[in-house]
Amino acid sequence: MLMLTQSFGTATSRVLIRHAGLEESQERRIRIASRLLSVYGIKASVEPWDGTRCTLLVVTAGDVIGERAVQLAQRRHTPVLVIGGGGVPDAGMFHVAEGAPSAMILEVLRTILGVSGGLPVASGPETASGDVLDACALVRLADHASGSGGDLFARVGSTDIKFRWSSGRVVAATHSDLLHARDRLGQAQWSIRPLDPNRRSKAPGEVSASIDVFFLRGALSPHAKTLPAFPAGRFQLADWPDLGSAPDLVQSLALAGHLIRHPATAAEAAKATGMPLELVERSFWGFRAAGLLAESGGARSGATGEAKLPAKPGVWKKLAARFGLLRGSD
Amino acid sequence: MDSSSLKLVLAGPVGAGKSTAIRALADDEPVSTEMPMSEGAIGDKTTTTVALDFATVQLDDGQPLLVYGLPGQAYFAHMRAIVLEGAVGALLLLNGRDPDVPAVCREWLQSLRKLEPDLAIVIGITHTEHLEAFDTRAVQAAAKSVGPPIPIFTVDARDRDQTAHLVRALLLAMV
Repeated sequence: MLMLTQSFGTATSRVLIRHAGLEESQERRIRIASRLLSVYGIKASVEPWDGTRCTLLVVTAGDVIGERAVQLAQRRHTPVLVIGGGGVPDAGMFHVAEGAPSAMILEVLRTILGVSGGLPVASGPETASGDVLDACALVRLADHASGSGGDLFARVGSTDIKFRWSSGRVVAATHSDLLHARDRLGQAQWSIRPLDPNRRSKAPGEVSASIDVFFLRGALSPHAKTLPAFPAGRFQLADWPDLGSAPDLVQSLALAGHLIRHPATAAEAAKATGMPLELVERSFWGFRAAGLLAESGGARSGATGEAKLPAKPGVWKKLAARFGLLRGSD
Repeated sequence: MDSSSLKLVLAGPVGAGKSTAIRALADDEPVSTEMPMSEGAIGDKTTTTVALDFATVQLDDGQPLLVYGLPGQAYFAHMRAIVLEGAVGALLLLNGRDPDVPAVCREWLQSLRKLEPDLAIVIGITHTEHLEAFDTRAVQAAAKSVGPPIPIFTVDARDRDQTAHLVRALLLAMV
């Protein structure tokens, strides 16, 4: 295992990942997972195998060129990630299943590169990386929420905010602090540390709001313009998000209604709900940061993934039309 | 769902905001049976519904959606079955300031499910924004102990859009 001593706010570590014998879809998933390493301050380049040194080699099991590359990599003590095959344990050899989604590949890359689990945290003010994509707070928090998910204290600028996934709330001194923090979820200049459960300091007049709405609005905000592509895979909501204070987000509510029943890729969800793919991917980031969106191991449920109308569709449609469900737009 | 008389029911304990939500939803001034609270005010709430709230919402084709508010008091529990019969769904409103809100949620859901097992239900929790320690996930867990996940929204019952959003969620929960 390589050990990178990288954390947020310091110079970005760079790794070079070379691949041999990958199919196009496998290469795409490797690229997505590699890009998500930026969440941990690691800038990964993905290039085809050319016989030169690299940080990690990725090959497809059984590929002839890949096998030659593996032999050379092993002589150089370069770790190898094999996609598919039997997965025989060997020093420096790591394996993922042939159809492993990017999120799973990311986890293996983290293991290989020695990136510690969970969200890297900082104890004080951080240095901006200057690259929003490399350290977008929303992506970091989404990764944290889908991992350990422990509550966090965060500071952006002079604004303090508490992320309480355990109770589904965000807490700040004022509403304007909540808005200020939400509009900076696409930025890197966040200081984050675990929230001590034994010190639930309760300042008078603090306000709280739905963490689900907070992250969803943050993801949909034009301030978060450089969110990375959402990892490949099929996802499902574990519970309905609390969108009560966001009555304008009608499409997101419909998307939630779909994902609570149907595991779906972003593309499938976009097709089923009629939402633009970019909006679905942004909503996926928001739901994931809220800790509600989980990768589904199962196949797509239902024959089409399309929503089914209830027993009395005429009545349902009349009510839906009256309450703005059929003509809603986010 | 009987299309000849469409009925929506708002349920929940005293002080949860049912009358306020009906007022927010209704096209016209609701018919209300509010009386001064016999045991004194609860916060800024000085009256309570002693029988039913009733209002209508006109659908696009002119058909009225009848909106009923169930009285929250336990001694009116016998009215619940009568009012719920044939309803398209129910909005269960809960008071977020109640420290026992997860238990109250479970109790009301069990009561409604016992009367109408297939009734579509969503939950609106009011008065939460100034509660630093309010726990939405605890209410979700309580609801899931009774049945499959249902929409649970923190809402301002005075807000027409937020109350309408509860109805949208109810409709999506029926699909």
